[in-house]
Amino acid sequence: MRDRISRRAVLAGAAFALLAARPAVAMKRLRIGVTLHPYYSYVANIVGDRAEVVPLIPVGFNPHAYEPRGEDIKRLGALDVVVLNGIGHDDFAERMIRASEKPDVPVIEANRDVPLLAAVGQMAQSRGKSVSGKVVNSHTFLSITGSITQVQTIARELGRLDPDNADVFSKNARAYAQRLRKIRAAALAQLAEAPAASFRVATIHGAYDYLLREFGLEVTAVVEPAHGVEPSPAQLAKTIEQIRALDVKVIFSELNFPSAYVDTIRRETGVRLYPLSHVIYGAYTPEKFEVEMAENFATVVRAIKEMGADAPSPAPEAGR
Amino acid sequence: MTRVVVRPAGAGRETLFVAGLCALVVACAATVATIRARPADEAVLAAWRIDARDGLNAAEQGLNADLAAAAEDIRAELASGEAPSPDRLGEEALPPFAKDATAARRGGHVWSLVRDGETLGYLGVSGDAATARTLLLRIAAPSGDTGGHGSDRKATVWAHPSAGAAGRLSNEALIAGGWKQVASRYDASVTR
Repeated sequence: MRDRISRRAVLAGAAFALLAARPAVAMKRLRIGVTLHPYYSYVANIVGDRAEVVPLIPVGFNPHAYEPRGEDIKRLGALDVVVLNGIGHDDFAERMIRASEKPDVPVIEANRDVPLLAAVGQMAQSRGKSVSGKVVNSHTFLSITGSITQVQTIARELGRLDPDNADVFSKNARAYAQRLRKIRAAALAQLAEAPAASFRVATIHGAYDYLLREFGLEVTAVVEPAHGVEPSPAQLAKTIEQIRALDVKVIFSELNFPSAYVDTIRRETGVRLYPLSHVIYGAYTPEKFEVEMAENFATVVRAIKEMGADAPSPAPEAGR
Repeated sequence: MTRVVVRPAGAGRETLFVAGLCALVVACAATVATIRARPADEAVLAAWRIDARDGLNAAEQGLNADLAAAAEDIRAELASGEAPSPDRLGEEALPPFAKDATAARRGGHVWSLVRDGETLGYLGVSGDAATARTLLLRIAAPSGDTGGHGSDRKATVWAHPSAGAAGRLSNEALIAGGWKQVASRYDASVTR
């Protein structure tokens, strides 16, 4: 009887200890702020259930035109670390951090190790001249390779902040990178040969350079002077002339962003339009990036196939 | 008879005051701009290095980005075993070792593994030098023995216009052989 009681007491004590310890464990979970949807997907896949991922921008806001609100800045005070694009797509975040209760919150610059491309488009080029050519294309998240490098950086830095989970983060990051690589490999496997040199592409928005590089394609022209800024009639006329002169075959436009001038370009030049996702609209979900990037890759493959770009001989991506 | 001299209406003095004030504002602005001007913080690259953004063409930029991402996987495999061969990496669809349409478009590099002591090199000989140069991913083994390369254990990418092989993988040997190290620089947004 005595043994029974003591065994019960031990079990009850152990259960109590476990219950008491649970809040402490929960308290240790990092709260990680992210600015854009792809970063939500990256971090959610890296941390799994070992940390909480908090979007800084509420669903429904366009990050290109986002103005921080008081309640969003307040949320920053409860974060342990913020993951930034840092090269032009979330410039509002630094101002938010400075204005928050935690101005010294650690920041992970996800693009620290990504080989960056120069920005394209008329506005970027004019600004680039005045800032020593430092204006870079901030859409590194719209590519598999750029994303993998960022995932590696984020996992490494989170591991430093939370050493107990560093191995888990590293393992999850590698598994996620492998899944991302499969998206690219599956798309490229559908192309029997490289696109021909004559397969020239333009984009409405200068967001897809990194993505198209993964097919060995280089963007010949960008229509918009800046994101969401419609070209003036004179700029539009110049772009149409340029598209004709360069014999552009395909224009990649943007999903969820229809514009009347895009129809004018199509009508005047006869090129075909294919919409790509910018992966910055809609709900934040761990799988969003994989799903929408798979669709983007499928769209580019379709464009190459439909335009008969499976030329007999591989051609150079660009001359020096 | 009283004579009153009426001076001609004019704003010469006021004009002078306004002009003086404008000059003062411009002088103040110029002084502040001069004092607060930041010196250009771009370091000039050594002759044996090339900038990834300006010194590589589109095909090479793509290859360089793929090699930078692949280095992490290779290092992870090195930590747990033998150096993975380029063929095996290609079978795992790891760019740029995978043989796909992009690889063909970027110059059809043929990859091989080169060893120099504990240092490894993944050498990609270009099949079309006009499209992309030959590239080398140099990566030190995680044993800590860097094979005479000092404490630098980072993976680095090197480019050569026409090399068909790589012997020693030290900085000195590569530079002497005409290789140039690809340097990537990080620039935070100019509007932050």
